[in-house]
Amino acid sequence: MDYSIESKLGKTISEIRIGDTASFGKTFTEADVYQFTGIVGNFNPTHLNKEFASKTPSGKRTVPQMLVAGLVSKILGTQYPGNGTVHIAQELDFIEPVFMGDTIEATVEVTKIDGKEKRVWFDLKCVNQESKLVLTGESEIIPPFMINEEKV
Amino acid sequence: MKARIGKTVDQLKVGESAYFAKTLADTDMLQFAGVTGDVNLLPINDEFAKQTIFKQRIAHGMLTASFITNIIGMRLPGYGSTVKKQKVKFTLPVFIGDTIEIGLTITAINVDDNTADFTVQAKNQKSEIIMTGSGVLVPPTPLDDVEE
Repeated sequence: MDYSIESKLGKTISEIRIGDTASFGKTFTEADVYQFTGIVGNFNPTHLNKEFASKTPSGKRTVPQMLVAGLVSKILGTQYPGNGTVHIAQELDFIEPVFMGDTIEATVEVTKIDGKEKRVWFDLKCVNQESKLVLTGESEIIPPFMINEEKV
Repeated sequence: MKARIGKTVDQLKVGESAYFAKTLADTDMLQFAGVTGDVNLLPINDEFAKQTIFKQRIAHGMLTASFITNIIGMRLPGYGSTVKKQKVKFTLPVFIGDTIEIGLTITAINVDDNTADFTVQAKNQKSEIIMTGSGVLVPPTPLDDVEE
């Protein structure tokens, strides 16, 4: 099979610039929450049980925090740098709960590049439809590269 | 309907641990890709992955990290818990068919803040460390009609 990943690779380290940003936003629905809790096996009633959630400080069912954090995986893996990105580390600060029906816009920004070690760092910010900050964080990744002929 | 909650802050003990282990299947990765929209070819495309340094598909790091919430939300502290902060490091790739075991340990308890610090270590079937991490969790607080 004549399949070459070269044209499919995301941005290589030489194509990444400090200050570059990428964003993705979506509305989180009950479907997202139920699928995600199923995949992970986390049946915490804060996400799945209206009666339980009504008696917690948030008052209603929340979207799993790691599902919201999945937005960063989506951006890094498919948009910037894209295909071939390897996630090395992730810091997350959960500031506000996210509820079903909330639209969350996640933005990453390149903050540091280590050309020698081929590592790139990003800041993460997620805001809801009221522009309230719900999640911040930092990502460390290895940008896409080819094994033999490093597209650097 | 009575609501059951996990351990409250005064019921947690420093040094207490809980574990979650599973064999990672292709379906985990495909479903994770679907629900998050992370269709990075590296975890989902054999031909693409063959031409990378890994030679085969690897799991999304955030999928492995998401299994931590299984422990926090269901076991320690359990129902009603949330996370305030979390940082993880993916130290080795996880492949389809690998069996991963995540251990979470409570390292400090702050009753005044209603928080607890935790560390995480995950290993594969060869006892290699695939992920380490730490964070701050918020254990559940009693509800009106709690039955513990």
